[in-house]
Amino acid sequence: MAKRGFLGGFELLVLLALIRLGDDAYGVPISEAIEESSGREVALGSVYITLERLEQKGLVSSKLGEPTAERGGRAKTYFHVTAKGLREVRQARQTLISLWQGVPQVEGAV
Amino acid sequence: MNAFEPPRLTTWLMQRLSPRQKRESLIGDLVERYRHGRSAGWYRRQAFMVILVGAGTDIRDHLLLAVRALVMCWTALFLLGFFTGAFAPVAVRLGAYRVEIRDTAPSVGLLRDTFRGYHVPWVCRDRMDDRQIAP
Repeated sequence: MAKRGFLGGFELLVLLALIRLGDDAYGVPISEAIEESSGREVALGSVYITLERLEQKGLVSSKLGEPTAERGGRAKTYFHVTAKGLREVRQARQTLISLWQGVPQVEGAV
Repeated sequence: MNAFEPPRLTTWLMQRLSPRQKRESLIGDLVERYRHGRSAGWYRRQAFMVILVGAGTDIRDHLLLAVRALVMCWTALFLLGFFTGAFAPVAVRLGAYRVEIRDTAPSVGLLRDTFRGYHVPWVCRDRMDDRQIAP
């Protein structure tokens, strides 16, 4: 079997947030989306480190936006999921679905 | 500092200690969230994490440099302690425990011990015993 790295749990969360946000995906909405879904505070530093790692793997691309006064004159960096990233998310979904089947102990638990 | 401006010292520290890549965007994101109602405590916590995560990544990416810096620092401390007698042992009480922070390098007065065994920094945590603790 060919050697392929699995997506980490937080990597998957970040990729899913990126897909949901579409063109408006930068640090603030990404971290807010993860916080809303998980109910836990997210460190923006961790989000950026994860995005950087995903970019190095070719799963995410980024582009610099315009600086705004609201951010103290600092530009936003927008992130996009690449085609390879989308394939990896689909693969992770398949893996998770097949693993979830036949695990009645955790069904219905929140 | 007014309510609209994030803590300056924290921002200054981040500008110097966080990873260079996308640093400005990251600080901009933190400033934006702060101005949308996050507290100064939240901002400082996030900044601490940025610096911590950045340092961890730097160490992982440049392991050899990190080890070299550690060895240099240890050597400098050893020489400083050896020639000046600094780093005398310190013992403090923390609740029911006695915490003893021993020297990183022996002082001149402990020269004989220097060559008896190699001294390394460590922290001893023993159950408090009044006989062991000076008043």
